[in-house]
Amino acid sequence: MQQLLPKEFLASANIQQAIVIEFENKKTNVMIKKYGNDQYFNLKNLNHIKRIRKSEENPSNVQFFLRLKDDFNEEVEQNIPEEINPYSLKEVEVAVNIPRTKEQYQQFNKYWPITYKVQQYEIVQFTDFEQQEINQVMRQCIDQAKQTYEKNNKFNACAIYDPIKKKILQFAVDETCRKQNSIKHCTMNVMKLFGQNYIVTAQQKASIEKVKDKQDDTIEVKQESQLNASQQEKKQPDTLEQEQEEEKKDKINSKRKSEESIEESLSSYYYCTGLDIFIVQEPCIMCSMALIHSRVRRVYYSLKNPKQEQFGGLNEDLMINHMDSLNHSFLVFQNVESEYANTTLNNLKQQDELQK
Amino acid sequence: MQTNQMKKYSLNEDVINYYMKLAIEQSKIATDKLEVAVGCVMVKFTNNNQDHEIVAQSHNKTNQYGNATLHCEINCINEILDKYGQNYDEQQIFKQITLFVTCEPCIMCAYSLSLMGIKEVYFGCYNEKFGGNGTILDLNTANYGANTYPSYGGFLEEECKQVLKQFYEKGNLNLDEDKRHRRKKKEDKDESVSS
Repeated sequence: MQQLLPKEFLASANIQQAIVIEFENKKTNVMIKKYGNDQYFNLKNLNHIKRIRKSEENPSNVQFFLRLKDDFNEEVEQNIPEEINPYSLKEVEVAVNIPRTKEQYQQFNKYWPITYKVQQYEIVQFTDFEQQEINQVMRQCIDQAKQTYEKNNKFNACAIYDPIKKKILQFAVDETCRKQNSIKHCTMNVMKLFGQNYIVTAQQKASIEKVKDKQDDTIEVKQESQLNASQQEKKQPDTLEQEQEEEKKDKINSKRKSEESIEESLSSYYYCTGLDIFIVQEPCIMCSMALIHSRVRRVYYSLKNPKQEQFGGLNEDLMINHMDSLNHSFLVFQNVESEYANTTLNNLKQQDELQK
Repeated sequence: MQTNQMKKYSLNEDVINYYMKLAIEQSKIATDKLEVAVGCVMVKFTNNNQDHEIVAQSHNKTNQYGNATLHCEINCINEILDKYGQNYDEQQIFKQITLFVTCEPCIMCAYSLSLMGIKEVYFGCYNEKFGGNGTILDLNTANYGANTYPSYGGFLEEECKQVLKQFYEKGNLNLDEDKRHRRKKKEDKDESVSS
């Protein structure tokens, strides 16, 4: 399993030439006070760059970062005060892209020294137990995909998983062929079923509350009428009374149960907020956006979408889940149980060929 | 997007405005039902655009069914395919169908239209957050492994925007208070106190 990260996380160093000046170590404080302003030290998008480093050739000297060579023109050069010895200007290499991971930092830092902030982007470390659980859920999805493939649909299925309750809430399979509808991808199907089974809409809420009120009224009325009846017929056999009492108890119990079920369904989900989704094949552009609309927490998929067939929406090319304009983003993990998925798919394809 | 507007669209402007108005009516129905105010009409054009009839019309139904993918375009596609999908190939059906929608299709809908191979799309206001027909992605013209289609925007733009604005000023009333971006206004309570 591998977490899919934005492009910048995988980028190698983007190296550019920069101009620095070299002076004696003692002068450092004075020089920074005088020339450490933006006029010389150009901060444009280079906040991660350190201003000073020790000279490699001469340990008693330090080098002061002026600006990138592209920004360094004659005008800037003429404005450099005489105090700075113009002969001390030097060219160095600097990595201008910001490091996102430790590996990148170690690599980029070999050029001009830079700072590294641990990114706000979450890199998830799974325990063995969690990994096993994830693999298990994915295996179930793959088995479902196998079944739907045998019905001439695409080899794809997905599951909505509640990571807190550790429970699969909803399965769905690809139905593009059976329903003659090529937007019946498993992601679209799962959202439909999940909405039917787990989401209480405002209308339903209102009607449930109405039913609840009615139930209260009717039960009270019945109890009263029963009491009246028992008062009128004072001479009743004991057995009958007992039966009546049991009936009452049953009714009260059933009322409690119905209340519980109502409360359960009322504490429902807001679309897929906080839920994870497992998909056998990488979701296409439409499904990726559907996942954003549904506000899922994480996406796990097993096989990368072959570009010739359909364009995936989450791989390194598009990364719909990291677009700035969108109002939601989620973490993506690929290659979950990909060996198992690949072997089952290959077996199925071989069977097809044999039948032909 | 601009290149799209430069091209001449195949329909008469009166026809476009007529169907855009119908789409706006759908979006108003959505507002009444407390759904996101976007509506659309799918129209079948035949006989060199001389004959046209409405095949499906819909509005957003995300709240009604608790399914965030039920945008109006998706509803229409499903409606049409439920009717004719068994007898005809979907590409053949949608080759004749033009979409009129009040707001630029989102990335999801834009790609689903591309999968269907729709004939043309006319939309009202641009969608600066999710727009898949030129604003954020250009799924209608770029080759993403499915069909491409011409898409033209900015028809009755102000009217379309107005309906959406009215909806968003209220905020999504179907949500619980803690999930809403805009809190319900206290004016109602204040008025009752003052009166």
